Amino acid sequence: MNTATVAGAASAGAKFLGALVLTLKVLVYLILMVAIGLFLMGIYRKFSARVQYRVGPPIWQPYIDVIKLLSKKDAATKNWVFDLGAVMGFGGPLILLLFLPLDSIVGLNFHTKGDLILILYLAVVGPLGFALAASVGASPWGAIGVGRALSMMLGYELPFILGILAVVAKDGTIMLHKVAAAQSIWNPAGWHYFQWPLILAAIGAHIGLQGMLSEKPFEQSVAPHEIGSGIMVEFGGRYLGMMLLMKAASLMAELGLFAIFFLGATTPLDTIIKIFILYIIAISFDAVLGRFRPDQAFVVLWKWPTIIALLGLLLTVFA
Amino acid sequence: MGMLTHWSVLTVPEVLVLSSILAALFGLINNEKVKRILQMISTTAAAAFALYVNIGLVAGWKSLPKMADLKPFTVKLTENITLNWQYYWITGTFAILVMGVLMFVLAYALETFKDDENTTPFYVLTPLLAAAIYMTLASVNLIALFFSWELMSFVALLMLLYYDRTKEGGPWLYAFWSGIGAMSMLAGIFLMYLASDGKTTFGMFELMQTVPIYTIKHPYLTLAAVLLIGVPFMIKASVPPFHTWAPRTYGSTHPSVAAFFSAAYSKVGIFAMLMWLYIFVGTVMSGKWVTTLGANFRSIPTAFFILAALLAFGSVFTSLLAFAQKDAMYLLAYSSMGQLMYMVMALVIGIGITVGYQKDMNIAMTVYTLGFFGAIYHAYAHGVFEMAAYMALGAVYKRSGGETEFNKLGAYAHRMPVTFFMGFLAMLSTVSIPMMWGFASKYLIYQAALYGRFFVLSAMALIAGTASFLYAFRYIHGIWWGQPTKGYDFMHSVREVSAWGIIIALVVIGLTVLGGAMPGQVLNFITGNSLNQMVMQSAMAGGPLLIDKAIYMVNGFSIVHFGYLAILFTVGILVALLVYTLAGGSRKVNLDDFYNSSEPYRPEWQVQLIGAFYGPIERVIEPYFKISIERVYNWFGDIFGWFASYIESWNTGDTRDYAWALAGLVILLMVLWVF
Amino acid sequence: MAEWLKLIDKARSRSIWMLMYCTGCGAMEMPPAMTSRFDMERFGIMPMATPRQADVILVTGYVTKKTLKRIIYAYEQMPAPKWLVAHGSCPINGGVYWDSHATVNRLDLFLPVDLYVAGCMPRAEANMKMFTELIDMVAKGEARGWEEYEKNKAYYKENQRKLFGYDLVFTDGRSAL
Repeated sequence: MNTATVAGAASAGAKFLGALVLTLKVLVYLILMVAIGLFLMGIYRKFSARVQYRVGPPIWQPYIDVIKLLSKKDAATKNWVFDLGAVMGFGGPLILLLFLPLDSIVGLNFHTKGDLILILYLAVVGPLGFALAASVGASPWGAIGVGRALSMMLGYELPFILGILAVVAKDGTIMLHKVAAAQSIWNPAGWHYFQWPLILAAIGAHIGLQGMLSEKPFEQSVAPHEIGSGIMVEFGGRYLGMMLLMKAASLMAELGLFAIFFLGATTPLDTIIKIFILYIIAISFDAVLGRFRPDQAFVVLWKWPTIIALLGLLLTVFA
Repeated sequence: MGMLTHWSVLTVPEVLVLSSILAALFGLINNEKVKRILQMISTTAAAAFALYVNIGLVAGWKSLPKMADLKPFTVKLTENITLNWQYYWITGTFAILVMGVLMFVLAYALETFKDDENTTPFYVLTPLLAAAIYMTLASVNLIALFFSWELMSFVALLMLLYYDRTKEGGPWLYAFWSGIGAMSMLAGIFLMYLASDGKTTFGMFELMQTVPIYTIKHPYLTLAAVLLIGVPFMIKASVPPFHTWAPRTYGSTHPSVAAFFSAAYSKVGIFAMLMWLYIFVGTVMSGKWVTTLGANFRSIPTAFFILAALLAFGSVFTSLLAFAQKDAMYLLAYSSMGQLMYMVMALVIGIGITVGYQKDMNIAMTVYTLGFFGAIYHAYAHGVFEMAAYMALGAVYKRSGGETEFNKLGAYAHRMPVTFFMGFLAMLSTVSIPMMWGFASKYLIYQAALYGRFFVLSAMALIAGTASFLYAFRYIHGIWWGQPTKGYDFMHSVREVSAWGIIIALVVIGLTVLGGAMPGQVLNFITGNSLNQMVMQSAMAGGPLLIDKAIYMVNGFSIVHFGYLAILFTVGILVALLVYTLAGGSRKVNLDDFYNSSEPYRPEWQVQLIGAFYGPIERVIEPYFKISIERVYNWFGDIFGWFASYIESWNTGDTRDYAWALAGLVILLMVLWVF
Repeated sequence: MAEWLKLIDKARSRSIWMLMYCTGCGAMEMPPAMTSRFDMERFGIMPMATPRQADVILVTGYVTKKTLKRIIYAYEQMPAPKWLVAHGSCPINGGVYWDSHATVNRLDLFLPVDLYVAGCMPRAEANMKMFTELIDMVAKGEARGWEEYEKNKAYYKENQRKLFGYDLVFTDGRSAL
C-alpha cells in the first residue's frame, strides 16, 4: 500500500466522518428546535389554564402527548397519499428550520444558502402536505378546515408581507442574517420594531403573525366545536403526532422569522429568548379574545393591519 | 459545413413550418396507430430540431452556419418593404416550447377525447396552429408578423369553433377580440407609415432603432401607432384591460385544446410583448417628450409603472377569481391569465428599468437580466405545468363522460394515481413550491421586482402567489380527492390512462422537477447559452448577478443555492419519514373508511361540500368583483346598439328622402368649400 | 424494551384524550370536571372532537339500538390502544330505562367496557375518581379492553348481529376505491 492510497483512504474516512458529524448536527438541531417548540406549546397550555383560573397540565404535557400519539396504532386504512401528505407536512417545517439563521446554534450555516422568498415558500410546504392528507381523508369537515386555513392564509399574508417588505426596503437585502445584522441585539431602539416608520410595518406584520400562528382571534381553521377540528378531523395516532411536531417546528420558524426581521434576533440564544417573548404576547391575546367568523377575520386582516403596514412600507420607500 | 449544405436551400423557419404541416397531414390518416406514430415522429423531430438549432447556433457549432449567415425566408412586397421570416435566438427559445408542447399534447390527446368526439380536426388543426405560431415567432417584419398573426388567429378560431364545449359564445368572443386586434394593428401600421413619412421598412429590429427618430418629428402620431400595434399583443397576453376574452375562451373549449392554447399559443403574446416593449421603449424614451411636456416629466418610469401596476393588480384579481370558480376549466383559465400577467410584469419591470432607473446602471442591468429571463423561464414553467394540469383534467374529462364541474367530480385519484401525480405536481409548480419549476422561475421575477425596489408590486405578486394556493387546493380536492360523486360502482369502472399516457405523465413530472432542481442549467440550455452571455456582460459591467447551474445570486441581496435546497429538502423529508416509520403502525379494519357521520358510505348520504368551502371569503370579495371591465365593454356595446337603433329610427322607408339628404350634404360641402 | 414500554404506558396514562358520547344526562357532569373546580387537564385529560383523536370514549347516558351503532362506529375508528367507560347506570344495566323497548341495557355485551362508573348520575367527584382509576389502570397496562375486542370479535359481532339483525360493518372488501 503506497502513501497515496493511504492518504486517499484517510481523506475518504475524514469525509465520511465529516458527513456523519454534519448529519448528527442536523439531527440535533432539528430535535432541539422541535423540543423548544413543544415546550412553547406547554407554556401555552399552562398559561391559558392559569388565565382560566385552573391549575393546568404540567409544562411538559406536549411531550407526553407526542409520545402517546406516536405510539398509537391508527385504525385507518387510507390511500398511501394520505401518508405522503403527512410526511410532506412534517418535512416542510423541518426544511424551513434548516434555512433559518437559528442553525448556527450547532455551527451550521445553511441559512447563507437561502433567502426570504425561499423561506416564505418553504413555509407552505407543511400546510400544503396536511391539506393534501385532509383532502385524501375525504371528510367534508377536513375540506372546510383547509378552506378556512387557506382563506386565513390569504388574509394574514398580505399585512405580513407588506411589513416584511418594508424592512427589505430599508435594509436592501432579503438575506435573513444580514437583516438581523442591521439591527442591534439587545437595545430596543436599534430594533426595526421601534424605528419610525418601520414601527407601522411591524405592527401590521405583528397582527398578521397572530393569524399565522392561528391563535385567537384568527383560529377558525381549527374550530373543534364547529367543524370537528377541521384539517385534523381524520388524523389520529401518529398522523396527529406528526401534526403536533409540525406545529412545534412551525412555531419556531414563524416566530423566529418575525424576531429576525423586527427584533434584531442575531444569535441563536437571543432569537430563542425573543421567540419566547413573542409567543407570550401572542398567547396573551389568545387567552382573552374570542374567535372571528372566517369572513370577518379576512376583512379585518385585509383592512386595518394591511393599511398600517402599507403606510409603513410607503413611508419607508418614499421617505 | 459540409454536412448541412442544404441549408442554403431551406431556412430554419421553413423546416419547422414544414414539419408541422407534415404532422397536420399525418393527422388525416385514418389508422389511429400509424397516425400517432407518424405525428409523434414529426413533432419530436421539430422540437429536437428547434433545440439543436437554438443551442448549436448560439454556441457556434461547426456543423451549423453562423447566425449572421442564416438566410431569411423573404417575400418582396414593394421596393421598400420586404416580408421576411428569420431565425434568431428568442424565436428559437419560444419555438422549443411551442414544439415541445405540441409533441406532448398531440401524444396525450387520445386520453382526453371522449369516444363520441371527433378527433381529426384536433390532430390536423393543432400542428397547423403550431406552424402559424412558428411563423409569427420568426417574423422580423411587422407586416409579415401581421399576416402570420392573422393566420394563427384564424386557425385558432377554427379549433375553438369546432370544440365549443359549453356553447357559451367563447369562440365568438375570441373572434371579436381578434378582429379588434387585427384592425388595431392595421391602423397602427398605417399610422407608423405616416409617422415615418413613408420611409419605414417595418423591420422589427429596425423599428426599435428608428422609432425614437420618428418620435422627434411626430411624437403623438408615433406613440399612437406604437400603442395601436401593441393592442393585439396585449390581447393575446391578456394584459388588462384587454383580458376579458380569455376565461370564456379557454374555459369553454376542450381540455386538450385549452392545454395547447394556454401552454403554447398564449406564449406568442409574451413573445410579442417582449418585442413590442422594445419599440415602446423607443417611443417613450425619446427626448422629445421632455421638451414637449417639461423637464420634470418622467415619461418612461410612469408609463412602465402604470403598466406593471395594472398587471400586478390583474394577477391578484384573476387569482382571486380563479379560486371562486365552480368549473375546473375556468379555474385553470383564470390561473393561466394570472401567470401570463406575471410574465408580462417581469418583462415590463426588466425592460422598463433599463431606461427608467438610471441612477445605478449595475442595478438596472441586473434587474433587466432577472426580469427578462424570469419571464422566459416562467413562460416555460407555465407551459409545462399548465399543460400538465389541463391534460390531467382532460383524462378525467374523458373518464367522467365530459364533466368538468367540481361538484360532479371527485375521488378520481384513487383510480388514476399517475395522472393525479401529474396534476398534483403541476399544481405544486403553479404555487411555486421550492424544487418545482414554478418556484425557480417565479423566484427570478420576485427577485427582479424586489431588487428594482418595486415593493408594492412585489407584495401584489406575492399575494397573487398566495391566492394560487387556494385554487390549487380546489383543483386537487375537487377533481382528485374528496368523495366520489358518481358512486362506487361508477368509480370502479374508471381506468388509469394507457401505458403511453403514463410515460408522458412521468416525463412531464420529471421535467417539472428538473426545471426546479437545476434551473440555471435548464435556462441556459433553452435560451441557447445567451443567459451566460448576459450574466457575463453584467459581471463585466461590475454587476453583481450570478445565475449558475444551481445558484441564483444577486450579491448581498439574495441567494438561493438549489443544490443545498435539494439536499436539505431530502433531509427534511427523510427525517419526517423516519419519525413516521418509527411511530406505531396502522391496523387494518373492515370499515368503509370514508367520513360518513359514522355510517358506512351509501351514495344517497354523501356530502360533497366542494362547492362551498371558500364560501365565506367568496362572499367577502364578491362585491369588489362587481367592478368588471367586461361590463364597461358591454356598456359601450349597448351605446353603439342604441345609436344604431336611433339611426334606424330615421328610416322613413322612402328612398327619395335619402336622395334629398345626399343632395343637401353635397350642397353644404360646396358652400363650405366656396367660403 | 420493557422499560420503554413502561414509559409509553406512563405517557398514555398521562395524556388521555376523551370522546364524550353524550346521549343522556351524564354530559351535565362533565363541565365541572373540566373547568376550574376540578380541572381534569391537570392529568392531561382533554376533550376531543373526533374519534380519530380520542383514547377513551365515555358513554354517558342510555344506549339505544340506534345510538349503539354510532358508538360502535366511533369505537372502531379510534386508534388503538383505546378504552371505553360506561358512565352511569344506564349503559351498565339500563338504569331507569331498563324496560324500554328501544334501550340496550348492557353495553358490555356489544363492546368491551374497561371501567364502570355507577350512579344516576355520577357526580363530578365520581368522574375524577374514575379518571384517576383509569390513569392507574393504563399506567399498569391493565386496561386491555381493545385487545379483548380483537380477541373475542366473533362474540361481540354475534351479539351485535342478534341485536340489529344484520352485520353492522361492511365486509365486502371495498374499504377504499
